[in-house]
Amino acid sequence: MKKTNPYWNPFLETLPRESLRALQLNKFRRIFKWAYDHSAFHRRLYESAGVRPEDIRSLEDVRKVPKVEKTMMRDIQLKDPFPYGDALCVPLEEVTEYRQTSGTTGQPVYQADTWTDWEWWSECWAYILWAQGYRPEDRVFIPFGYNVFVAFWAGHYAAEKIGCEVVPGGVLDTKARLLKIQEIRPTAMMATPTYILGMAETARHKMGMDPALTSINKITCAGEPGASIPSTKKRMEEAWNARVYDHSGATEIGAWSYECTEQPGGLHVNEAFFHVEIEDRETGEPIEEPGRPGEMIITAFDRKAQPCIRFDSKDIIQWAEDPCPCGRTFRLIKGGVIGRADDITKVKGVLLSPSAIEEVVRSIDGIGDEFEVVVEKKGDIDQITLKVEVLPDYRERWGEVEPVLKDQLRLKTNLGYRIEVHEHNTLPRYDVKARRFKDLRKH
Amino acid sequence: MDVSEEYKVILEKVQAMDSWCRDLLEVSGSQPCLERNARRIQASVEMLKLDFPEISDLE
Repeated sequence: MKKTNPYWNPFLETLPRESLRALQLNKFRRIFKWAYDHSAFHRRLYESAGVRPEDIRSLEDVRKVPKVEKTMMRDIQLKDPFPYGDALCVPLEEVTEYRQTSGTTGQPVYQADTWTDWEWWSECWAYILWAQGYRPEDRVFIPFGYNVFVAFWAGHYAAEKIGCEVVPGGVLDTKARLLKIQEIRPTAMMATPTYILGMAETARHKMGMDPALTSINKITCAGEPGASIPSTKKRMEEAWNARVYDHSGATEIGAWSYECTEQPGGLHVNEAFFHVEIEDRETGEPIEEPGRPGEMIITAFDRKAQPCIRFDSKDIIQWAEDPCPCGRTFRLIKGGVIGRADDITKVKGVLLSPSAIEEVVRSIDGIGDEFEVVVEKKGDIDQITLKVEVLPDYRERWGEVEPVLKDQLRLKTNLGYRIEVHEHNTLPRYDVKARRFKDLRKH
Repeated sequence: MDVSEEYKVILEKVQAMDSWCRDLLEVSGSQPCLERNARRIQASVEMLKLDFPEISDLE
């Protein structure tokens, strides 16, 4: 077999850190000036903060530039030009791609991209897929709706760019997709963790099919945390007998991070294309040291139509201690996106992250993949109910499983839970992104 | 930064592609097929410019 370069871009992906930082500064200055000169919204924002392009002389100066939050985007988009508002930096006729956010946190945000931006999307995804072992010999199945969400569109075009054979799996329902996998024998697939597990469940329990015996040998997950949660990754890998890789990106940002074939327990930030800062949630101070979680502020250097400059993503991340054995100089974030600032909440005075619950639930045999968490007030006291499904083979043994579940939850989250056990296949299923955490105290 | 000769050759050729593409766009005039296809090529060239930054950007 012909040996190929392990890096999509050997030059940039192994660039010495000093040169990478120089590149980041030069690129930040350019995108900042671009937005300042071409968008009424950005000009207003920066003038009100008293910061101009010539004020950015170091990466530390980047912090002088005011942040943009998603809530601001919603207000901007009430202005002309319809529908993008005055954060648009190009004439409307240069916009060739419309996408929108999923709306899980409120009114969707509309996203404009030009042809060049769309090429940029597929190029960023090419870094991801090549790092995860995709090669021209691969046949890639994409069981995705090909709709208004950016999701796997760029994954499709990146796979094409690499030279893979791409099989679009839109419109088909889950059973039809599984039959297509059996029929066409793809080697790779892309989907959310929820759907990867859902497909496996449908295969086993409704079609008498073992997904571990299909031709799939690698899976790229995106759209929600899961593939960087060890127990969820393990469940997916065992279900499909395939390597499962994570990618974190966003409609408003781009495809900014990727796991490589080393599976180092974290994601590389594509630092040639994106600048990531981590801020302390309480103080707003920058965090450089590894292992300390904070909120991600991110800039996309090259996205021109609707720039992303110091966007407060609300994602919680932390730098990893050690460089990756793969040899890339792009830094790793440990554990991927650990959670969302919006989702991390205090229960009984203790900070709780939904991903910590997911890690416990999916690490215990006998418990199904789907679960639900409900937080409510009983009088003055917070109460957490965890709804889980017991697998049919473990119904008689639930008395042995529940104490293990409770102990692990207390150990990992420092909280006690009311456990509600349900029959397998009775909790809600989700086609794409799951909404498992419900905080009723907010209503 | 001390870049290799190979990188310098690549940069030269990417810059040549960029220049060639812009020349093509200048003569595309009222030829929609030429103008639109040349713009698609230009978008790919823009990506190559990001993949292979100017040496001055790395210092």
